[in-house]
Amino acid sequence: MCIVPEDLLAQHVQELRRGTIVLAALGILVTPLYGYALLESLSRAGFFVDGNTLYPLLRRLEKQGLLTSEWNTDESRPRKFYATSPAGRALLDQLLAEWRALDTAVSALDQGSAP
Amino acid sequence: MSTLTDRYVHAVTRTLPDDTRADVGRELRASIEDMIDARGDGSPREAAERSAIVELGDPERLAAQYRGRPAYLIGPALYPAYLRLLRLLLAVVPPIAAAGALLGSILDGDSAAAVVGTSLYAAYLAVVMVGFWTTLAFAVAERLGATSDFTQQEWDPDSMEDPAVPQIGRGDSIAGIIALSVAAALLAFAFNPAITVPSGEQVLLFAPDVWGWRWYFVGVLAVMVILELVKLARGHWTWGLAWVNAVLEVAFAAPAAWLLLSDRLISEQTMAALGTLFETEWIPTTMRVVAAVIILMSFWDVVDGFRKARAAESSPG
Repeated sequence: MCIVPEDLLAQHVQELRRGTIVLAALGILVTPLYGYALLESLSRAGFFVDGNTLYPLLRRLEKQGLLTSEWNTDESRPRKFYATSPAGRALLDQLLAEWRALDTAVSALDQGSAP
Repeated sequence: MSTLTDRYVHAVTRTLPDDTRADVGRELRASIEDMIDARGDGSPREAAERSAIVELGDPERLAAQYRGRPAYLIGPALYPAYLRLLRLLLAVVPPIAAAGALLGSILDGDSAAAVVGTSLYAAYLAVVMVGFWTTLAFAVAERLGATSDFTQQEWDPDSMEDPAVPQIGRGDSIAGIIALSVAAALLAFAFNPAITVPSGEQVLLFAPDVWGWRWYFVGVLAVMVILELVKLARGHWTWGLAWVNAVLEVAFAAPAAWLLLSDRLISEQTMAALGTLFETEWIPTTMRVVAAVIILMSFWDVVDGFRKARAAESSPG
């Protein structure tokens, strides 16, 4: 079996993972969280993403109406909490359905190409 | 004295729009603080702060992400159209500019070096102008969001050229048109350079009587330009085009050769001056050689036209 060059592998793996971050964020933010906590939560759940990708992404999703945000000033450090909006939840369901369909397709492919 | 965090937040939010700047700044500070906390109490605060900011990376790139505006001048949707237009304009405009400058320079009576210099400079200016304005126009279009509609209309399946049929090169056609235009313009403007002969006086090169002929030649050249345009539009040779080409070549070459051979073209004074320089027998011989060259070149052009027409008409598809 060939060894895949590291940067080529990294590039394609990133492509593969990129789409799942939105899905994961919408799923986790059903319970409101702030930026860094979401980052850790995603990491624990097995979704790896950098802060400099995630933080702008949260703003974009908010702009698209998929998330709502609120500044929480209870603690000594004010934090911006994000939560999945109803529209976000609807999209999440759609994306999960898409994911299952993709999973079926990939599994079939995988079965088919098994030696 | 600002902290590293202050400087970083300033660098990121500086170029953001007013409404989001404060909010992004606040959130970024909180996130950086969280990252510092996560690095534990073991390391000193400065080191943790530095490490957190390094992890967040280049503030310009982060700002670009927050802005959401494209970090490029012309995007993939518009780029093919941009390249097409740029190529077309660069093929057409600089040669025309150079030819215009060339003509102007010759008519002004500049030295050969000045003529070349002026033409090259005009071509250079034209290239720069075309490049700049085309790029600017497309960059503006990109930002105005003129993407999908514009590119949707571009492509028509019927508009593609047939690879089986030999095509007329666009570059050749344009070069031909420019050469013909320059020649026609020179004739029309009664280009008749003065030559200094050995005896010191200035004599005109071409015989004055010949100038009656010049409108005829200008007319033939003008029709030749039209033929080139038709060829360009058609894209390939046809029998009809080959015949028209033949007629035009004869119409140009025959009178030109006759004028040369009957000593009507070059002015008498120039002939006389040349006669004192060289053996008199050389003059008619030279005229005959030049006339022969004209006839041969025209003959070759006619034959070539027919050959290309045959290749184009008899190819499959």
